[in-house]
Amino acid sequence: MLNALLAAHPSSRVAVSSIGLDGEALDTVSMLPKPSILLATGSLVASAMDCVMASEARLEVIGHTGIQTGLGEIVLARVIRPGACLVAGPSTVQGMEQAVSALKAQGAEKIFVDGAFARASHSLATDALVFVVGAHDGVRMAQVVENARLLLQRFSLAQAGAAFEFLADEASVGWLDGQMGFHALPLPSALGQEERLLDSLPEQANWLWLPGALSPAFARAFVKRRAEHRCGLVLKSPLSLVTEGQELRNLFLLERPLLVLQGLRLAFVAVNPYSPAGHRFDSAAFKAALSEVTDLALINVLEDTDFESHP
Amino acid sequence: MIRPYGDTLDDGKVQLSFTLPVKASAKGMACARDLARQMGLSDALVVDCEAVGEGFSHYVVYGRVPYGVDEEAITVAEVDAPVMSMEEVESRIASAFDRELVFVGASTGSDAHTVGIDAIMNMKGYAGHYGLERYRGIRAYNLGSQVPNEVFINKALEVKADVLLVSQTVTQKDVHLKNLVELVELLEAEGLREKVVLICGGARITHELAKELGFDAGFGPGKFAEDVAAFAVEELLRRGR
Repeated sequence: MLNALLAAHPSSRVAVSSIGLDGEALDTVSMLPKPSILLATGSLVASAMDCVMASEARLEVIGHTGIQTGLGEIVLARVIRPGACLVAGPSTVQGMEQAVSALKAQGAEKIFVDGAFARASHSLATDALVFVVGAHDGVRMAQVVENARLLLQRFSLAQAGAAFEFLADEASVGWLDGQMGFHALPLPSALGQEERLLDSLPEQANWLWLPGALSPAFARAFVKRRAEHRCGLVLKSPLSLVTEGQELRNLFLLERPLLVLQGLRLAFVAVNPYSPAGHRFDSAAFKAALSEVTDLALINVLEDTDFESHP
Repeated sequence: MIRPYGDTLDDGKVQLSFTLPVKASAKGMACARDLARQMGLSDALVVDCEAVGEGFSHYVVYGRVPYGVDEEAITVAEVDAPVMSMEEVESRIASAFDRELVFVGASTGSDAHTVGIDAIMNMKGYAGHYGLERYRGIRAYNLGSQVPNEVFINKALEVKADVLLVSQTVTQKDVHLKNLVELVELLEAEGLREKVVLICGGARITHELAKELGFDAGFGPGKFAEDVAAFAVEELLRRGR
């Protein structure tokens, strides 16, 4: 995916980083071969110093960020001889925001941040998100498509209107009445306090504001006590909804309004019918099934020639 | 080049075990041997065959592999921290901090194993290495096993934790990865990730994996409380905490 994005922008000054570790020969967990990250001369990277030194491409360090990771300090480097690069960028959202700013200051026009596992919070440091769905997620196509549907619904949560904007300054968990009056609840966080929070939430609450995470435990408690509380939920962003699988499905089935102050921009859905574990889906059937759950463009980077039209 | 050996150096002998969904029988043993052949083993011997319930059987196969490993070509990312004894860690804390450092540890999610977190945190420690509860200058909270991530974070907030230690022993179906990612995503959503030193450990945890998952460090087998404490204290100092 990353190499396809890089190839689609040959004339741009591109930069690459990763919240995990990418470009290594073998995957850290599966020990299966991974594709190299091939960078052209002039490309920029924000990566740990150890990875810069270990890359096949020749890199010139052009700046230090002071951001530390488990693999050393994140430095900015420019490719002076093309080749495969090992990339491990900042691990945290704040670190990635800092690295992205530093890359922009060095003249990067397109910055690609590679993900890791199911981590999504780093999307906050980017302008848009490429959602990748593939056979690696399971052997049953129907289950893979259902998982994708839930996650796409999560990433596409509707943005709250101007009337809710003041919540951005409210650090406390609280509820809104019919006149949009805010009432703080005496809790520093909803985490580990799910039942207590719902105990103190009055029936007349129209909306519940969670300034932090909506966790699996909260989703379970909210669904269980659905008859008591009919309010909608307001979160900072789709990334505040740290819930998946059955809990996420049940939460959506409640059909309560679920709004976010800051939405995400989904660029397209990258489709990979092949699993490194050996099985594969029929490409056309996989796309057809996915088209039933999203209106976004579905791109298989190995087959679709119009990929460049979806930056 | 190094090779596995069983009887004589470089003989390539390995032993592996697996379960097949077939009755323990001569046919089952032949299936096990054929599987070993497909895996590249020569001279494969099925040295044990046991029934494990109806229609299932467990095998131990002994055989020879033609492969070796170039030890020089293997690189491993390891935690970059000074080697210190318990007394040196205590002295470092006393000289660099005017307060106790707060460590909260747990075996999180569905993981019921406390062996890892106890080895690092319990006062008596493990294999002659005292745990963090014994360290002067460290206030250690060991929450035990099967601690939901939400409860773990809630405790961290309550006691204003500096360092979070997560132990994961169970790795079936990669449940540890899902659980560790969920913890990182919850901390990010709560705005707490930058406020704590986040460390994971376990038999199948490597430092590289920890980086992938968004942790500051990962400790595998053979590491003790002083290794974890030395990293955490130096990291807190580096952050100006």
